[in-house]
Amino acid sequence: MISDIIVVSSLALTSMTPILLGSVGEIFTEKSGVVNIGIEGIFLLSALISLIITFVTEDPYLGLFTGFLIGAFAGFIHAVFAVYLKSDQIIVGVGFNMLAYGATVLMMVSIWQAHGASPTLPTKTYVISIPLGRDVITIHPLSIMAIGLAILFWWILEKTSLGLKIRACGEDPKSAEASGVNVYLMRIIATTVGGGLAGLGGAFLTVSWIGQFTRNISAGRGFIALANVAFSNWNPLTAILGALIFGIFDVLALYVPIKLSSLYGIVFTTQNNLFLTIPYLATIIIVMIISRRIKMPRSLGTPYIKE
Amino acid sequence: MRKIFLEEAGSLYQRRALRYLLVFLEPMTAFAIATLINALILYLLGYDPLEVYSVMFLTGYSDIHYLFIKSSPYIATGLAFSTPFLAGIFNIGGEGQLYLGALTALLASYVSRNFLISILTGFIAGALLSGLTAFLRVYRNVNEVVTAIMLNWIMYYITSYIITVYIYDPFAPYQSRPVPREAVINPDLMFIISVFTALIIYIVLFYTSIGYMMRVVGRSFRSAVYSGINIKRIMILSMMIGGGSAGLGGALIPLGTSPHVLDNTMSALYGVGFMGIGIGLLGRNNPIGIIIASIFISGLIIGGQNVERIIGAPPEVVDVIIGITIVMLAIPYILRNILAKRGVYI
Amino acid sequence: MSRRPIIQMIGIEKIYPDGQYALRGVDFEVFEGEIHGILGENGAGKTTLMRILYGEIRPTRGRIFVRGREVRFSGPWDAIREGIGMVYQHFSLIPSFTVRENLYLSMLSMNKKIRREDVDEIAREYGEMIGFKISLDEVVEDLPIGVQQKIEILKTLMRGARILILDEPTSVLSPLETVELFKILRRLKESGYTIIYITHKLREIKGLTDRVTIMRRGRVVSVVETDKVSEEELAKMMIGSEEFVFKRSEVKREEKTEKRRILEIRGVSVVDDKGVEKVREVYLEIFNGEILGLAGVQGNGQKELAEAIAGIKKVSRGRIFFNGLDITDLDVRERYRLGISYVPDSRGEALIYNMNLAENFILTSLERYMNSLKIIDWRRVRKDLLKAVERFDIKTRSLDLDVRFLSGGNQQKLIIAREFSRDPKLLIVSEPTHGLDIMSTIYVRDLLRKFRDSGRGVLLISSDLDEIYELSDRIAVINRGRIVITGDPKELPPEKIGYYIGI
Repeated sequence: MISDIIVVSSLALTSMTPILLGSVGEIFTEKSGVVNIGIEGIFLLSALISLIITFVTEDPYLGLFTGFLIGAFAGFIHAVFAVYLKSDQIIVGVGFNMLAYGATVLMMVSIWQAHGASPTLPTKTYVISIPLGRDVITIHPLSIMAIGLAILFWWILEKTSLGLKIRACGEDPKSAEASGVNVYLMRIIATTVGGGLAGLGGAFLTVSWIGQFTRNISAGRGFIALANVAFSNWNPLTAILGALIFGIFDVLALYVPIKLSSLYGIVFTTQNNLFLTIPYLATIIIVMIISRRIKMPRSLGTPYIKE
Repeated sequence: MRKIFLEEAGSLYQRRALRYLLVFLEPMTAFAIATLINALILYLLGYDPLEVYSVMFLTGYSDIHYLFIKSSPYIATGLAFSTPFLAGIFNIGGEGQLYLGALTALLASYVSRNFLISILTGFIAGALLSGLTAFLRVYRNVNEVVTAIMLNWIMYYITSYIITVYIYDPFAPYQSRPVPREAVINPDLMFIISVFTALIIYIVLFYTSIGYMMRVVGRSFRSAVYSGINIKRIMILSMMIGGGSAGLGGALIPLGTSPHVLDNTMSALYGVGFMGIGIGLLGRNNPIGIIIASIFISGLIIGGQNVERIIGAPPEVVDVIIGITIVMLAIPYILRNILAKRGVYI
Repeated sequence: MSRRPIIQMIGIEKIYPDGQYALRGVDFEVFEGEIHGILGENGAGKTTLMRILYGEIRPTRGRIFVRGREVRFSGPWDAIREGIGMVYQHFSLIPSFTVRENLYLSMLSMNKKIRREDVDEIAREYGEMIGFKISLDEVVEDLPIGVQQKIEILKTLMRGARILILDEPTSVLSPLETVELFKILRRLKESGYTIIYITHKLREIKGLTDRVTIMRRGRVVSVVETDKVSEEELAKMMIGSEEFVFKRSEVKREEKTEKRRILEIRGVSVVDDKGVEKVREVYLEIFNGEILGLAGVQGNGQKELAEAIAGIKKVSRGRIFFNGLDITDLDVRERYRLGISYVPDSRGEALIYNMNLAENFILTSLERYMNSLKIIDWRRVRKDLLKAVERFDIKTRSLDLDVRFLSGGNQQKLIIAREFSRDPKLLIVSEPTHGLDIMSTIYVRDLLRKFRDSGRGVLLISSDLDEIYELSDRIAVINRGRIVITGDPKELPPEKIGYYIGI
């Protein structure tokens, strides 16, 4: 039982990582008043491209960095549409997700002639392995780093003048502008950096964790990250807890059937599908329970139009 | 320079014609930009864009009859997005509503052996699922986008589960038993049902008080409050009409397209719900526009399948084009704003 | 007082891209250390002129000199660097931030390296100068409007402004807060600051300024020393039309034989979304053939009271009777159907800007245009609308035009046309002439009188005392959610009302 808990939580530490990076990026973005629901698409794009870079250069760390750049670029494009073109930000996100899905499949097919999954990486990023009884616990340094980033971004938002400016843009852009804040610039910065964090999360999926790309590999994690933003009440520190909870349910989807079959000797094949609904059901239920007290940035999602 | 209003230029009919032209021009501009960007992507990936496009556009629209049949479920999912959108609520759960509609219609067809009952079941199931999303949004303040995506995944796995565990075909266990022959519908009827649904929704939106209230809620929350509209009820209702429509689209697929089964990866359904978002936006959220947009995009999708057969590029190339088109359409009234800057108001 | 002009604007013209003239060659001069008023009606160009001086708008033509040196501002920041500061009607404070965060944010734009402690220090210094003390940890939105305005002034001073522009600063203040504001402004003047004060209120010009520039339709009409002219002379210069009589409730009507009570409000309280009680145990009656003027500073519960009568807000206590019928539990549409009509202060509420005239016309009377199948009879809508457009002289190019393209006056006329065509028994109307030009204002006020004379009731909510006196048969004053006095306008002089508004 105790070993179960330890194993599940160590696995959860891994599965929470992309969710946490996506959430922190999205919180940073949303604090400036821009909503980017394209996290899912960023996950897909940077997961694939960072994998390609890793294949080519055999350097997974360069892959991770590429993932960050891809995410930042996507965030920047989103910011241009949101800030300068005054677009409907939800629709841009929906369109981007669709584009990313199509583009990743297109790339996968054209590069590997593979329709379902890419080849597997020979070298992933470094993993800390701790033997524990019969199990070996693995911890990704990036998971620890993600928690550190969450703390760092909390500090930036709450304690620095940059954070104050960004929050001002999300609360009341008109007054922020009158107080000398360059609203456009702040929103561009926040959305770009936020996209970069999500990109890092996407790269983690392939380069650190799974080692290969599969069609729709993010499997709704981008939206779970969005749910976590609401869960955390736009606080990066609370987002750590939220990501852990969502991460645990993500693990349970795979762990419960394995555990059940090892305990009772039942072999699940088709029934597996039912267990796979666990993280999604849990997300709806969790968000439903907490979402009455949320306090979102007041100008979230509304374009700021200079006179 | 003074303001020029379209309203004072030319005759009533000329003005109408010009307005319709613009309504048509804006989505087409967005689409044209998307094909250009996509051509660049194709080129970078080593495909010949000209070859891909010539296959896509030349073969996609060659069989008009098939084109119309193909467009039927897309009309339904386009409506599924646009009807709630007009009332100010996002339905990107069309995909899940489509799965559930297809599954429940299939189950109902086993029992009832009647296509009308099956379609109605699909409609109701879709409406209830989207109603849940709307309910959570309205009464629990849960973001409808997140709920919808989660429900899409849940529906995917549950449908797959039910197909493979309860209603599988003993000779092909990865797919369901087929729809009983009595409940199978003629493919032409699919199209007629979809168009009929679109027309009904058109009348509801523009000629009934409910539709009027939906549009008021979508455009101005404050005015809706002021005029005493029950916003929560209207939002849920619009979402249920949308979800019902997606459910209906899902029902049509096993009932009307051979081999009249569902498989465990939902291959006949996958993406149809999401594509509805692009169709709704391309059709400018107008049911008539949605019919046109569905036929147009169906041609692309057919063409995309041929591209895979002939050139080897995956049909997802269509997702790329439509994705970019959606992004472009998110820019509010591109042409209209350019004109307004020059003092022309439409 | 020195006679050295600190600001000179010469030949300022402003033509908007759509061809509209805002300023037609304005010369404007302010002396150092004076309080200079700019008087004019809505649309006279006062605010445009000052926004040009503040660098927010670029003039089409004209030159600006500050302290004798020609300047060209490309944005407010250039103006701020020249020591010019502007305090808007709508403050530029971030409501959810604390006072300290707001001040720090604004100081960051002057000095990137500044620390929060420095900001505290500077705030204390300037606060002492104007006699204003505030805890910097307070969240701005929890503070009264008057205090927020002082923070705004403090913020502007801290940024080094020596020339302060105030745009209609008292429109949101109670008389008492106004007195305090004037004290601060006089204190600033004594410390050598220059103040430009924009208003359309004659009393404030007389009470505060040294000199006044009067503007009308984008031109300067005259520049005078304030103590050399009377209020009436100022009014004539401001309004311009010779035939205009400065009237004040001279309407005489014989008492109706039968006084019927249309609306009775019994001990109504209303709580807002945040749980604050905005209306407290209000008792009011409105009779047929009367206009009840509800005076008060905006934000004292008028809106909540109006919304409670219309059914938009639920009452937390008390009952409301309409023609003897208890309507407290009826919803909005049912009340509208009974004959209550509500014209809110914000046109964006009563109109859907991106819908056309016809669609807007049925917003509150949907039921009347539906057949038994609940289908809207658009043909009949258009017929009625066309009649209304003609009767109320609404200038529009088409019934299919989105109402956002109509002018403010025509929008207001459309709202009134819609509500009148419903033939209501009671009209609740809030700030009906706010933002309208003088002709539209006269027209709207006439309509209200005619409506009253046809034997129906009006609740007129207005923060403009002149309007209250011009129209009302009875006056009530609302203050912090309570009705503090009701009475006959002949027995209640403006000074007394002013006192009740402000206590």
